Amino acid sequence: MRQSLLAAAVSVVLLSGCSELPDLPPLPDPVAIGDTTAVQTPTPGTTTLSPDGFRTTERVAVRVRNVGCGGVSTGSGFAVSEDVLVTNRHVVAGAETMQVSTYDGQDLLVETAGSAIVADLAIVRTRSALPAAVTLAEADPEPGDPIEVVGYPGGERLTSSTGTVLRYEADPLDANAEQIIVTDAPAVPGSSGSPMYDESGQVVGVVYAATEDATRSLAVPVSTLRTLLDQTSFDDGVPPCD
Amino acid sequence: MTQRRPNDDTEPPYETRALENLEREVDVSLRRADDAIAGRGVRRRGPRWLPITAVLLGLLLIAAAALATYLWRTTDEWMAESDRLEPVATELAAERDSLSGELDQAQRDLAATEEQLREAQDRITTLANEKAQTADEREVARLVAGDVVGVANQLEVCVRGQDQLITALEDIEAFDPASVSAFARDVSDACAQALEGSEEIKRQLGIE
Repeated sequence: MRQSLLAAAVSVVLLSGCSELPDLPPLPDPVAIGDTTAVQTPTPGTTTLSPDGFRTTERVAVRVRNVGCGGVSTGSGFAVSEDVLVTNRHVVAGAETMQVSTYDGQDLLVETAGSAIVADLAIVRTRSALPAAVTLAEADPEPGDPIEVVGYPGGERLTSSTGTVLRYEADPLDANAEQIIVTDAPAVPGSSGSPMYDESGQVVGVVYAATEDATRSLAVPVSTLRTLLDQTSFDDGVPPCD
Repeated sequence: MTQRRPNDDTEPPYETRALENLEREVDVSLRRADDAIAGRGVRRRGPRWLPITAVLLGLLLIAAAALATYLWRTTDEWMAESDRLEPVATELAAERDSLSGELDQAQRDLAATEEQLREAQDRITTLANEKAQTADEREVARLVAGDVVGVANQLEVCVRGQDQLITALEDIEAFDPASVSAFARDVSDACAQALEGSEEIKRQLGIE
């Protein structure tokens, strides 16, 4: 009995040592050594940058020069399509000559201008192609929403300012039949016609005035702008001087 | 030997039972003595768990030996695999260091390019603004030039009217005094307009 047990044990040992070993498990993934820096790869088609690095919200902003009414005045505007831009009615009022230039200094040929009756808004058609066009938001902004205004305040260089929607109220200037937006984004003469963007870069309003201390800007909501753009006909020609 | 009959229900007496026990012990002693005479040893039976434990320990020993052999072979395989992978790991580490250096350089280049882009954008915006301001001034100058032309025309009217008025005054008797007075007022108005226009131009040009 003892002899048989010993023989079995030796056989098991020898057989286990000579038998085929199972495959080794795969190596674990390499472990990062030291600091590594995550590199963000831009996704094609999602960037809003142009080849020159300007944002779309900047590229659509145009500077409007009104030569008429005995002087030269400036305002802002923005492209809503390849050859249509939006600005304020009072920006183009009385213009004998209207000149439009882009963020990079290109001068555009202006064809016609039409104005709306319901609000201080105007449509200007250009013969030159505009560099880019904005996307209009589906709904008006809510109080508390952050906004950004891009334009040419004081007729100076292209500038961006941020703020928050404060409230809606009746137009103190009686230029708009609908309620207007009051924001705490600063605005000065020359800011009129500037697009007001939400966080996603969609237009939610058009700046048309500022408070006397320039600490509040007043804007026409995008719903009114949509109403204007949906119109099939406008008052041809520029409105008279104020 | 005392035998009990089948139908005998009475208990045998104590002496009988003792005698029977004694007889059985004698029989056992005799069998053991016979066995000893026949050379067969008397075996005492040990505890029953002892062989089972021995078998289990034997199996455990076999399993441990098998495991040790397997681990020994596995260790050899791993050592061989480690020797094979070590130069690969070294090469990969060197490649990683190289790529890390290239990445750092690329990031520095990217940061420099982004800075250049920002400067270029700022320059573009500045130049666009300067161009717009120049165009504004050009348009203002064009308006002023138009006003200057208007003032020049008014001055021409003024001067020509004054010449005619001087000529009329030199031969005043040949003219109707009322007409001369009215003409003089028209000339004065024209000169006043020219003077007003001139002052407006000076104001626009910032000339005191």
